[in-house]
Amino acid sequence: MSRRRIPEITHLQFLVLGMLRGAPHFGRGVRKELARHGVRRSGPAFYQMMARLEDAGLVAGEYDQKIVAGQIIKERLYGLTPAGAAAWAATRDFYLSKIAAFDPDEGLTHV
Amino acid sequence: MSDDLRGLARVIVRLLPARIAERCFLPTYFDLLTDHLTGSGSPRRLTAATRSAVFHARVVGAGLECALRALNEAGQRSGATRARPGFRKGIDQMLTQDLRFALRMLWKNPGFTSVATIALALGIGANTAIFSIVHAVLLRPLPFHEPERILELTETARGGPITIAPPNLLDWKARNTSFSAIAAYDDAVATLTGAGEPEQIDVGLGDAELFPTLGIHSLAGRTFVADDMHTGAPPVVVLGYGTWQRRFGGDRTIVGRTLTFDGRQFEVIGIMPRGFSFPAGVDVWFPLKLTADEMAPNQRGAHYLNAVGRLKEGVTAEQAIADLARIEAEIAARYASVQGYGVWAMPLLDSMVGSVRRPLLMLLGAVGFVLLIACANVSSLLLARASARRTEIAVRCALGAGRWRIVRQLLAESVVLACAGGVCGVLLAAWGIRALDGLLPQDFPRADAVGVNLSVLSFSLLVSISTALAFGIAPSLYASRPDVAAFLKDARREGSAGLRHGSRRALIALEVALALVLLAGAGLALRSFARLTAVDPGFNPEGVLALELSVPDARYSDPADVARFYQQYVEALAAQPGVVAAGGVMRPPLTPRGFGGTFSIIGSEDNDKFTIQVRPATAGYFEALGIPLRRGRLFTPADRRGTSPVVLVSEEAARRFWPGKDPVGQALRLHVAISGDEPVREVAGVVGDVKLRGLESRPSPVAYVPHGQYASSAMTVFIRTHGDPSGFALVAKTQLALLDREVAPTRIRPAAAMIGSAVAQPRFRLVLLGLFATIALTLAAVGLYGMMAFSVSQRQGEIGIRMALGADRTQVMRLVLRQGLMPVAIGMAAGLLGAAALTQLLAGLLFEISPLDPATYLAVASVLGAVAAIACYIPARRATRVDPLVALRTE
Repeated sequence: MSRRRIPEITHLQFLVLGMLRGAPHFGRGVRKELARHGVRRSGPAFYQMMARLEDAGLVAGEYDQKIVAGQIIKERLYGLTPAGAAAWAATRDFYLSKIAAFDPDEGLTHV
Repeated sequence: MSDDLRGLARVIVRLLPARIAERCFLPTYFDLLTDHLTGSGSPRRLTAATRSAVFHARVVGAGLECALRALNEAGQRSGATRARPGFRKGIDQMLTQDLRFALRMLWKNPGFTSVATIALALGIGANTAIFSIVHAVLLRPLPFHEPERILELTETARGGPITIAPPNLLDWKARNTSFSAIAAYDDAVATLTGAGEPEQIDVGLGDAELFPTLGIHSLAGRTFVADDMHTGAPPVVVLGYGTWQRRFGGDRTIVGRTLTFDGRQFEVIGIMPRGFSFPAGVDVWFPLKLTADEMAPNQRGAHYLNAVGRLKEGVTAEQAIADLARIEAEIAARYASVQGYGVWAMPLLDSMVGSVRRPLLMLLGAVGFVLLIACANVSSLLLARASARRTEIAVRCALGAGRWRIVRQLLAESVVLACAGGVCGVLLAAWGIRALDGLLPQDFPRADAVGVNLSVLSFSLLVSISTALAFGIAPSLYASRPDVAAFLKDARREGSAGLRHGSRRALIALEVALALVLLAGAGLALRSFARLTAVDPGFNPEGVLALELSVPDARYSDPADVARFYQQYVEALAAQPGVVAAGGVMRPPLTPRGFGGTFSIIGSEDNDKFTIQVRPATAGYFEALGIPLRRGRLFTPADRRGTSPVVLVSEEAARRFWPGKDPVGQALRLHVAISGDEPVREVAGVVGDVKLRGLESRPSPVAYVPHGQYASSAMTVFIRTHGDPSGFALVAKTQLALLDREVAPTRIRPAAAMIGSAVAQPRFRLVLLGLFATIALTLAAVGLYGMMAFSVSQRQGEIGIRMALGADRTQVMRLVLRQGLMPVAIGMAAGLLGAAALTQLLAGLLFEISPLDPATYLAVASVLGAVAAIACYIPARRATRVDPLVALRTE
């Protein structure tokens, strides 16, 4: 049996990648969704995390324009890259395999 | 508003590294902007100004956090924090370990810390204080609906704006296609009686369009409607929030009740919301009722109305001006008295603050220089300190600290210093603003809201952080690349490398240059002020008391009654012991607002092309104010209604309209009538010119008409006395009460105070420029002294060797002085060039003095040179006292 490596993404990154699986989301929306999970990040902290995901090739970001109260507003729109989808799937599989291998009486049967 | 918001974001984007700015700050900024625009970012109960301040503070906060994150990333890339992954931990480290260490280091050097903090506090405090005025006056939006669409409208004559003739304004209203509303307004004074103590109140007069034009609705009741404007309509009044609260305790049932103003009953129809005041300072409004006489075609030369207009959606100011110019040209084609007149419009805010915009921006620039000098000073101190700490830093590097780690730690010290300076600066500014409050001229527009608020605090925070980067970055970079091997080998010679470094000398040169520019500006302002106060106003205010008063229209509706009242009053005053003469005039000298229009010279072909200022005056006015008679005669009590109409003209009018002739005996007809047609008047005399609008103004042609033939209810009465005029205030009030108990003077002051008011704005500029120049000179001197003292202390060994080898004290002093005065000379040369360029901005604010006045430049260069020489001489003298034996033993 091949051994699975510990995922390189954090719980938070896993959560964000998961949100982006269905469709691209604006940064504002992702932040609100994170807040629903009790994760509150300042704007710079959140967008720096997203920038790191972009640098890692897991997420693709671009600016989208809209008009708010007569003014042009730019919003950062994020979508999942194939690498991001793969990283999310690998992390999910890792934990699923660990859960499947978990015996309540014996603990983990194999690692 | 959006430009203001985006401007701040642009500045922050430029300061941040591109990657952080693009992907970290900008999305945050747009999120904040969306919250701000949709109102979801802060509680809705906050005022627009407070929400704007909160938004600004959040943007600045986001910018700061991004800057810290950028530093942290740089540190991580340099490997210094490899062992501490995670941004939160990195920032924690920055905020705790580095800041704690910075505080410890600064605490251990109280002298350095105190000097640097004081320098920064002076710079940041002065900037904060001036910004608080700039924000309140120039940046704070007007409290009206879409204020950018409101224009102040004027007619123009000979290129300058003048008030509007009522018939012309009626044509503008009826025939324009650019404005959704145009409103006429004026201001006056009224006495409120019958509800507590009688009180003189500044009141506004507005037509039915005034409040809709400004986009303001009443808090309770209603505002004016067209029916209120008819001359026979029931008298009504709208109360301002301040008067409503102060006089009636906020009682809403006041609406519908009657109040007594100037002896007449007015029904209160509405209350305006808090913060609304237009024109400035007005808190009660009456309908502006124009009579049929005032709107008659023969009144097109009578200019006395003010007007504002609200642009229709999508119409620009240029289109609106062109529209009104078309109407004015059509009027001019029909009426000769309108020929030569034009129209002008400008944003209401500009019309309110236009006169102070340039001086304020000039002062903001001047305090910017003070801050730069403070930064250069602290930077110079930090460079010296970095030289002294090179061994410590070399040891850190040898132990594995990366360059960014060192830079970060040194920058943390800069941030702590800047924050300390910022806090002290804000406290200094809060005190300074109170001091400025007493210094601000009484007519300074929008000065009521000057104070420390969130916007001002955001500005101070931004300035403090920018300051920390400005003065901290160069010394940090310089100190963070030591030659580790060299310093560890011979730590004792640590000072020499720093000494050779030219940065500190460059900073001294910069300080001297900036200080010279400020000194030149202050010197020019001082000389200009001296010349302005030496101007002859055309009258002698010494020993003269001035009373401003107005008789109520209700009881003095007949002009003959008004004329009789004033004549009796000035005669009663003139009969008092100690009084030399007494007389009154409408709109006295040195008053910004004029009253005038066109006139015809009987027998001349150039009729209707001349404009002249008109001043009704009583007998005794010219004697009371000391205005000399040049030819003919002055007014007498016999010049009253029913006698031959006469007029006195000023020397300027005589020169301009009767060149080479004697105007006495000539006839003219004014086109400015208080009621009915003006008769043909004979010129009875010529009197001296007086400064009508200000000391710096050129003489205007004036026609004085006898008050008995041209009665005005609002007058300023002058009483010339033997001795101190203030002692006659009681006499003046008593005589007034004997004539009419319900007439009270609006203001009593010595006539000399009129001169003081006329020079209040130049004095304000002079005091501030002088203060900033003094601070700049002190900071530059302290910086120079600090550099020289440090240099001498570091070179003791070298000086000792020179003296041991035969150098005498004169040679040592020359050596040290040359080193100190070289950057001063370079700085002065650069400063003179900079001053020659920058003082051109002062050109419009100077009176009868060139921005390149050589005497001023010579004087300020001498002062700066002398101060610099003293700052260098003291350490140089200390250098000559070095004992070679002691120095060599240390070596």
